[in-house]
Amino acid sequence: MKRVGAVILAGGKSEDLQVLTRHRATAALPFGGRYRVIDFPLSSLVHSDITSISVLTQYAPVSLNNHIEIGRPWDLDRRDGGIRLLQPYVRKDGTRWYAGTADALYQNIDVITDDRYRDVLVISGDAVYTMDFGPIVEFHRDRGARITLVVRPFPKKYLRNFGVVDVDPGGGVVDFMEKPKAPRTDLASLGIYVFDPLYLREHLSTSTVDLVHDVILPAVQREDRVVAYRFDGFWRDVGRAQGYYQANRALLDKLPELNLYDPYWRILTKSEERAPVRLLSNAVIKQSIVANGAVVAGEVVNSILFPGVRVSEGACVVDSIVMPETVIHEGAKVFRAIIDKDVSVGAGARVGDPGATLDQNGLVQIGKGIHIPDGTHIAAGETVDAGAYGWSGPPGGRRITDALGGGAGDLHAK
Amino acid sequence: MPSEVYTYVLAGGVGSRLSILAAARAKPAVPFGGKYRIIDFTLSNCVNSGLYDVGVLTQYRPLSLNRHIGIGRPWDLDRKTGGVRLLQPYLGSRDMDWYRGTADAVLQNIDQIIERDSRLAFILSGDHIYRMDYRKMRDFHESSGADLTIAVKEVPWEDAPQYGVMKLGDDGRVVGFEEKPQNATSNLASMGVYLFSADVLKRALGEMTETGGNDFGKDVIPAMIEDQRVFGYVFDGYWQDVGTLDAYFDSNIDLTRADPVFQLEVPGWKTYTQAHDAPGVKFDSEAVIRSSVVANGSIIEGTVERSVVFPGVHVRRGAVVRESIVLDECDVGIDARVHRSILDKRVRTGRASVIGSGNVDGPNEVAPEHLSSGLNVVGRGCRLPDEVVITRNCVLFPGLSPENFPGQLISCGKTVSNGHEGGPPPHDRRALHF
Repeated sequence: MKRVGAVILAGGKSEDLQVLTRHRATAALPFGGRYRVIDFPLSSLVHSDITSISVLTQYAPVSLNNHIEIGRPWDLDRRDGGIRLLQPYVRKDGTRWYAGTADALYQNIDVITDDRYRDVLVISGDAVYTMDFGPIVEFHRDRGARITLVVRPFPKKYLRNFGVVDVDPGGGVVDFMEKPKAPRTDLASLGIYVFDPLYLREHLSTSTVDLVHDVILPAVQREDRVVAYRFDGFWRDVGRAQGYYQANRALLDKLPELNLYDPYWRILTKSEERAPVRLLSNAVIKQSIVANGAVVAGEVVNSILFPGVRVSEGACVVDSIVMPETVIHEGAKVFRAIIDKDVSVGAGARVGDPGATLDQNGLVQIGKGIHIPDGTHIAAGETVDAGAYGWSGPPGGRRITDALGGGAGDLHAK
Repeated sequence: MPSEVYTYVLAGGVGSRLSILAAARAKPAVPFGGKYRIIDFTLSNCVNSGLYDVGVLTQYRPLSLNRHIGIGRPWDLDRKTGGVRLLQPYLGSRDMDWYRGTADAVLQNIDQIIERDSRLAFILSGDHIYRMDYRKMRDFHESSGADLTIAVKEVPWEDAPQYGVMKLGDDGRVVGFEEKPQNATSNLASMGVYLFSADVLKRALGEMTETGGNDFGKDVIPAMIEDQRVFGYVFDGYWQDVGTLDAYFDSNIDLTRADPVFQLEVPGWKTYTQAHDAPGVKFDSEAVIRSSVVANGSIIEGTVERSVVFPGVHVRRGAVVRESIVLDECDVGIDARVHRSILDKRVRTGRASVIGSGNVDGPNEVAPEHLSSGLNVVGRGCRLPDEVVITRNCVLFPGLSPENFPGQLISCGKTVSNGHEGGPPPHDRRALHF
């Protein structure tokens, strides 16, 4: 698609995925065995031949900077266009963080609405989806629209988290209801928009903060040619623990809705060189995805293991997501848990409960670098985190034993 | 641009004993260990040892190597100073054409070290699996004041006749050298890893042209032992020539053991290769997999044991793969059985076919000296008929389709071809035996 400038909004921090997003933006969350969330929107852009991309970051940008760098894995290290990360910067009139999505766009308006672009595509970097943007931009051009919203039908119970859109038979948006209690349609806005750049310039200012409240809603009210494009493909919100967990789990279906193995739509990512997966003589693996560099001697069921994870002899991992370099020691049992990078689950430890519910009341979350002592029991629904140490924590993370004054045994974290 | 150390990697090897695996690719480009190619180990040794100025000498079927190495990104060899260059034969001032031997190949590219004003030149074979820190060898070379240092490795006495064998004096100096001796007097084999002082190399190659030689092992080294300081550097790590089908098979299958002789991944020493953008390995609810090495992008629905599986392979339900090497993007059909076989890239086995069954009853009819241990080799892109039975010591040429098969049973030692190109490489003079 020629003459399209894309903007990825990747500033989000999730509230109830706290443990996993303490050090990283939602867009930088590991996903699906070897990806990060932003790889999905990025790969969608690249497969749609849109290669002029700005990424707006604010919260914990280091994780995204390290991942994207100059964009090589996506073939975005280009002479013309390519990818750049736009963070808040110091200007003559002082420093300002991005106050919201509209403000972030406004602060970078000259970059975003460069006159090489006929259309500006603004997309969310905090969700997992595969989308061909070509037809969407075509649609926008054909309709001569000022704004095109991408919408998707959802079951009623999910709609209260979205902006719900009412559309006339010609595709024109006649109403936009933000998080309605009683939605009139089942079409939710996915936070993916095509704008006419001149229109965007005209309607962003120092007083616009949020893109939906301060730009989209007024545009609908003014009847400024706002249209909706219906998308029916794979799209999952991963900003909450349960959604994140379920979206990962959906990859393990026999015929998953999101097919990572499609050779014509490869998800591109930065990867570290790792040896192939090693399965030892007593390994048992069912219904799971295991990435290169992992070594499995024990049992893995219904789980996703990222690169370099080790599951030792006699250990088992069930219904769980285990991020890079984490080691599950001999005889440890892990059920229904999301375990961040560089964690050590001590020998004979038990994390979670096989009968626990799959919502935040049942899922265990364990933060980056935590060492769980041998024999510890962590009950279903617990969250174990390095907490106050945050960025400046000791290398390798705080040991739980330190937090508890050296005692092992049943652990009741905060 | 000056560069103190320059490295030549000899990657022209034909690998004729690797049968059809090396028919369409040079031996260094033969896949190994679930995702690598043989040359990755040497190239990774180079960058892990701080050798960043590398020329790869190719000749035989260079395309696969060119594609694999490209501008050297995976090895961090896409550099402004140094980096990797592919050095292919070119038409020059004298009636020079193809490389006539290992030493001739270096001679034709001697400009590389002249331009750089290099003081030292490594000459490495790209044919072996090993992990070696060349810095230690260089320290040895410098401290012993050597003109030439040759890395040697102790091998079992009964294997010594396959190698160039060195006899070392007490000070480590090479006092005797025999190329493939019948009755060896030493079991220290030359690893094909040489470190020359650059001036010595230039002089030795100059003298070689006067005597009409072409080869390091046959011509250059024997001539130097008498009057130059030639030392042996004893290496005691893993080093494997995977130049025969049996060695290739055994070294791959060894990787599947709990404690393999050679670890593909050790801390602080990565083996780099051209990366594949593939998702993690997917295991189905019916999958049974143990003692195996499986690369990203594969989907396992059946049973895999003691096998090495490369990226993008699909083992379908009911299929059983045992003690086998399955290269990239093969499709092992429903209920198919594969045993002690090597499937080259993109083979489709068909449904309920059997590859590797019954007893060994004589060697392969075409290459009895290379294939007698019962392995089968299935060429790239072969499509097998459903329910076909391939017994032992069979070779199926690349690109076969079901109608090329003479029947539903391929008996022991048979070679199936379709009369097209793709057979064992011809022994012509352009083929370098490194």
